Formats: sequence, C-alpha cells, structure tokens
Amino acid sequence: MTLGSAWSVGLSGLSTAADQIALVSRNVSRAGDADATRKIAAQTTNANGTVSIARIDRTAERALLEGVLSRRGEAGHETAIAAALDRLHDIVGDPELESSPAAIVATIEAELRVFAADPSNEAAGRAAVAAAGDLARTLNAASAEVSAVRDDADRAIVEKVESINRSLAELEAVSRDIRTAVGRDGDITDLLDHRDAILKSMSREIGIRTIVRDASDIVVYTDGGVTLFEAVAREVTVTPSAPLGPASTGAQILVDGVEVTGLNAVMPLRSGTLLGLVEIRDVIVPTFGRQLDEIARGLIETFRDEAKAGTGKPAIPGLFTSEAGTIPPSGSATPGLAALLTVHAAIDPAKGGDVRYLRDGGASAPGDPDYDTNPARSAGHSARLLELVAAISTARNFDPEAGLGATANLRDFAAASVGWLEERRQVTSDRTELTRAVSDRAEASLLSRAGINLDQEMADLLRFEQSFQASSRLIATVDQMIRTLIEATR
Amino acid sequence: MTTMIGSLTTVTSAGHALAAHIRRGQSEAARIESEIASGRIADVGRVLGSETSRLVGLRQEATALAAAIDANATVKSRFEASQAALAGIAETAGAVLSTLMAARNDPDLRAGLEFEVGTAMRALQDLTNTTFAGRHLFSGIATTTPPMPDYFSDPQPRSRMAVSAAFQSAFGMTNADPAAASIDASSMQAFLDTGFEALFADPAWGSDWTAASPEPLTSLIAADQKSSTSLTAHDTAFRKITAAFTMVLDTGAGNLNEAAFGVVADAAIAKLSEGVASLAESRGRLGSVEADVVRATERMERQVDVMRGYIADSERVDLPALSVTLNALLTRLEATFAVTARMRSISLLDAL
Repeated sequence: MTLGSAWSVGLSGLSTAADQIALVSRNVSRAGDADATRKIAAQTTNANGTVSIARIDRTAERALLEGVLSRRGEAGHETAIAAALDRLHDIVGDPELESSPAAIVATIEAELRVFAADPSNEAAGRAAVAAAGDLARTLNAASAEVSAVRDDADRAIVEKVESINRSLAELEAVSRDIRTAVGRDGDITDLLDHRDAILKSMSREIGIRTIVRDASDIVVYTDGGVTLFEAVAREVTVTPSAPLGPASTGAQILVDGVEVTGLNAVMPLRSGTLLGLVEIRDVIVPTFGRQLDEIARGLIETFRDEAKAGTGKPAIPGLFTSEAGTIPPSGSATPGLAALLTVHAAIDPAKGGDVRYLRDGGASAPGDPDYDTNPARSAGHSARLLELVAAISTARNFDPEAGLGATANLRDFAAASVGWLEERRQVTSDRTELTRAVSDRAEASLLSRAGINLDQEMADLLRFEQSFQASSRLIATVDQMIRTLIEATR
Repeated sequence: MTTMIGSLTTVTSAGHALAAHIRRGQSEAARIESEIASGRIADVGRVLGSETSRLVGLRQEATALAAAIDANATVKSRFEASQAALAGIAETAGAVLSTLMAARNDPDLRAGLEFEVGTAMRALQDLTNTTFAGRHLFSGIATTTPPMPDYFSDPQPRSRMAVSAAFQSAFGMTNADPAAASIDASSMQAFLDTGFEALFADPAWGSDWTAASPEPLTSLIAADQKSSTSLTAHDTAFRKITAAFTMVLDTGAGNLNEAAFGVVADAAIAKLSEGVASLAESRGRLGSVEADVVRATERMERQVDVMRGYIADSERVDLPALSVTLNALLTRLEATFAVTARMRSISLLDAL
C-alpha cells in the first residue's frame, strides 16, 4: 500500500462518514414522522481499499405494513358504524330518561288507564292525547334523523370516493417517480415511504391488499380482490344518491367498473370506512327506520276504530293517523310512515279536536253511528278506553324485515327496537375497542421495527464522528509522512 | 443494528403508544368517576346490549302499573263515598221501617206518617244523587246526570204522574180523592201486586224513575283485571225502597180505610225490609270489589317495587370494584405520566 492509496482510503472514509452523518441528520429530522422509516446506508469496501456508499436501504417491514393496512380497514369500518349507531342511540336515549318511543307508548297506556278510571275527566283525556302527540313528534323527529344519517352517509361516501381517487392518482405519480429514480439508480427510499404513507391513509377508507413485485412496483387490490392500482390508477366511482327516500337504496360503489358493494357484488369490499358507510346507508339505518315505521303503523292499527259487527265497514284510524287517513295493511312496513304519523285532528285539542272521540271512537267518521261506541254520550263511558288499553298489549303482526320477529304487541315491539339497537352498539363498540387495540399494536410494532430511534441515530452519530475523526487523523498522518518525506529529500 | 427493547425502542412509537394510553385512560377515568357519583352505569345501552329491551320493557310495565295504582286510588275514593251514601240510605230506610211498624198498630201515628216518609223520600233522593268530585256516584256511566229526579217537583215528574195514572186506572179516581176510603183490602192488594208493582220494573223504572245508565262504571283494577266499580240506581235496593216510600205517599194513604191501609202498610213494610236486605247485599258486593281493588293495588305496588329494584340492580355499578378499578387506573396513568417525563430525559441526546 502506498501513501497515495492510504490517502485516498482516508479520503473515502472521510466522505463516507460525512455521508453517513448526513443520513443520520435526515433520519433525525424525520424522527417524529410516523410514516418515516429508518434509512440505512449500505457501505461497501472497494477493490482498492476505499469505502463508499453503495445504496440507501430502508427498514421496510412488508408484513407488518400489510397488517397495519388491514387493521386500519377494519378500524375504519367499525368506527363508521359505531358513530352512526351512536346517532341512532340519541333517538332512543338512556332508558332512565324514558324518551324512547317504547317509553312513550307506556306513558300513553298509563294516561289511558287514568283516563279510563274517570272518563268524564277531560284533563285526563288531554293528558293522554298530549302523550300521543309527544310520541308522534318523537317518531317524526326520529324518522327525520334516520333520513339525515343516511344522507350524511351518502355524502360521506361521495367524499371518501373522491379522496380515494386522489390517493390513487398520487400513488400513480409516486410510482412513476420511483420508476424514474430506479432508472437513474437514485435513492428511492423517501419515495417508498411516501408510497406507504398513501397506502396507509387509503387503507382506512377502503380495505386494500398489496402485492410488491419488486422494490419499485406495487399492485393494489381491494380486500375483495378488485384491482385498484396496477401501473395506473383504476377509477372508483359512485353516483350521489342523497337525499334518499325512505324505501330507496343508494347507488353502489364501482371499482374499475365492477360493483364492490351491495348484494350484486361478486368481489365485495370487506373493510374500510366506505363499506361501513354503505352498510349504514343501506342496511343498518334502514332497518331501524323500518322499525320506526312499524311502530307508527302499529300505533295506527292499535288505536283504530272498528265498525260495529255486521256493518261490513272497514276499520278507520283513531287516535293516530297519517296523511293517508286509512289503516295500512297489517304485517308489512309502510316506508316513511313514521315521518307522517300524527294525532288525529278530530281528537287533538291543539288542532281544535275533542278528546271525547278518544273515549267514544269515530274520530275519522264523526256522526257515523257505526263507529260510535257511546251514542248516549255517557260521561263515564270507559269501555272503549279499556279496549284501547288492552289493545296495546295485544299481539299483532309486524314486518319480519324489521328484524324484530313477526308477532309482538306494540309495547314489546317498541322495547325490542331499543334492544336491537343497543345490542348492535354493544357488539360494535366491543369490536371497535378490540380492533383499536390490535391496530395500535400493529402500528406500534411497525414503528418499532421500521421507525426511527433518536438514541440509535445519536449512537451512530458518535460512531460516524469517530470514524470521521479517525479518517481525518489518517489523512493528517499521511500528510505528515509525505511532508517528512519531502523534507528529507530537499 | 437491531432494535434494543422490543416495541418501545422507537421513542416516537413509545410516545404514540403512551399518548393514546393517556387519552384512553383519562376518558375511562372520567366515566368511572361519573359512575361512582351516580351509582349507575353511564351508558346502559352499551353495557347491557340486548338486555336493554328487558329493562325498557320493565320500565314500561312499571309506568303502566303506577298509572293503574293511581287509577285505583280514584276508584277507591269513589267506593268510600258510595258506601257512605249507601249507609245513609240504609239508615233512612231503617228509620222509616220502624215508624211504619209502629203506625201499623197505632192509628194515632198514621197522621204524621206521610210527612215523615216525604222527608225520607227527599233524603233518599239526595243520597242517591250524591256526587263525588263532580260525578254522580249512582248514575252508572252517565256520570253527569243526577240519577233520581225530584219526586216532589212542580210540575210533577214522570214518576209521580205514572203512579197517579196507575191509581186512576185501577180505581177510577185520583189518589187524592177522599172516596178512596171505599177501596177494600183485596182490591188494594191486587193493585199493589200488579199495576203498582209494574211501575218499578223495567222498562218503567228506567224511563220514569231514574236517569241513571244501567251500565255500571267499569275499571281496570289491575294490569288486565276488569271490574264493575259502581252501583247504579237500577239496583233492586233503590227500586224496593222507593216503591215502599211511594206506597205510603201516593196510594191514597190518608183517605184509606183501616183494612186497606193495613194492606198498604204491610206491603210497604215487606218492600222496605226486602230493600234494606238487598241494600246490604249490594253494599257487601261493592265492599268485596273494593277489597279486590285494595288487594290489586297492594299487589301492583309490590310488583312495581320488585321491578324498580330489578332495574336499579341491573343498572347499578359495583362501587367497591369500580373504586378499585379507578385507583388502579389512576396509578397506571401516573406511571404513564412518569414514564413519558422520564423518556424525555433518557435520550442519548442529553449526554452528547
């Protein structure tokens, strides 16, 4: 080894150490960034003994990243549903507040019992009608909230689809940059970090799986198997459906022209906020809405006035009615009925009605003796009120599609609706908690394996500093030796 | 270079984990504190899930039963007022009965009889027309109508005119006619048994004597136990007592000969005795329904207590367990704070 080669080895050590320190500073500057991976310089020794940095690697953990992606999808799915269920829960309220439709049904029954004990007491009658008005308004408001939750979900779907498309376009751009950088043999690690960050943020919205073909080429599928990205971004499309009618189902989401949600989806989505929103819009909230409609229909049916036997006349609405003014067919939901439910104007004192129609019947056909149970206008006539009290606990048919069974009495049906909702809330929140724990764990392990640790960087810094000092000492020594040599030959 | 201590190697990741931990711990602590303060689960629906529908159902039941208990209180006070009025009627009838028996054997007492029975008739009317909270007690479901029109009103009520007409058709003279002295005992007996008797049977009773509805008040005295909870003026007791009073007043009593008066007095005594007996029976019936109401109320009160107890138990938090949890949680949170603080100081950066 000549002094000259020693000189160049020292010099290469010096510049490599400087590069390493630069890399440390790059790592340190991004230490707070959860998307940053640790960059490692692969240092090689050349044939002539000099050292150089062959390439920059990063501590990518493919398997851990995949785990994070799918956990995020699950968390997005469940969080979206939990939020919607919480909104529905506000309709029902805490059982103690007795503000649920179920509780108000019981209040009406209670007021009717008090009224029946003293049917000439108009104030008692008014109290019963007031409770009925309360229930009608509660159901109207609940129905409006159900529509609002669905419309909000639909708007959120459209927004999420746009943001996914943006992410995909960004992914396409980054992939192009990566290909170019690979062609130039440049450092692609930051670009890869960026690509992973896009995937992470996207995975919350839509469940994805990725396949890495080589370092630079990635293929992204939905978790149902439809291609989202392969060299170029595929388009995610959806038609806005809000405002949604009570009976309508929103438009389905298409990826690359293939339906990924709804019953017709061959390769349906399995996770992600988007799936949660579609389930809210088309399944969970409509089912709850159908329960409200069935409670409304059950009320009209329970409080209907039957014509006297043998007259062949149909039953007509009593205390509760809707715009239609007829009794809806039993056992099947009338979409949107809860929004239209009102207390009969002929009974409601606030609308100029008379509570005696509640006591005697015939609100929808005043003057028709076939519906009048008290032609003598006896003030103590309680028979009809007692029938109504009994009707509240009489089993009747309900739409099985409301998810609460085919027969129940009105009171139990309304109570079962609360149970239905709370059970879903319980299950979802338990699962959300579990998913969050698992997800936190997955992110933590990804960070700890691939993330940046300041201490480690500092230790490296010391090492590279020493190596820098050693190299400079080497150069100084070689310089000294060369100087001595020159001195000697003068 | 490999990582040093598993998942906590990266300061960033440790920071993340701790921050999430602290956030969750704080909201958990807030929830537990509110639960300790209220003694009740903060979010019942979330904790109990489908069980919530049972609690809602129990609350519904409790609401309905509480209303039934209230309604029974109304029914019970109505019973009490009815019993008081009926006791008054029994007393009046009893007094007339003893006067009648005395007058039957002592002609000197006949003179004052009409006046006394007239007073008794008024008392009977007043008691029958008793109201409670503005509702007539013995009108059946027609609670706004007084059940018994005034027998002595001018112009005469239908009842009194019907009595006069019956007398007229039986004897061919008015009941005030002094010629009534010629009526013999057997034709008087025949009149009392037929024409007069028919006045107090249906439909004459309902059209002439009382405006009450024959339908008694019906109440739900328990969750689904229906009961008649009033006595109407159509009850036999009212008819018999009224009939007895009317016999003395308007069958020509003042003008009758000894034998015919004897028939009237005997018939009146018999009717009145039957009436008093029937009244006692009706009061007993009413009393047993009242007892049913009291029993039903007590039963429902117990049920409501049990339900409320069950609801409270289901929604109650386990205070000792909760405070242990809270303490553990707070300790953990403090430890987390300490670790977070310490982590800043264990950076190699400071050593450089």
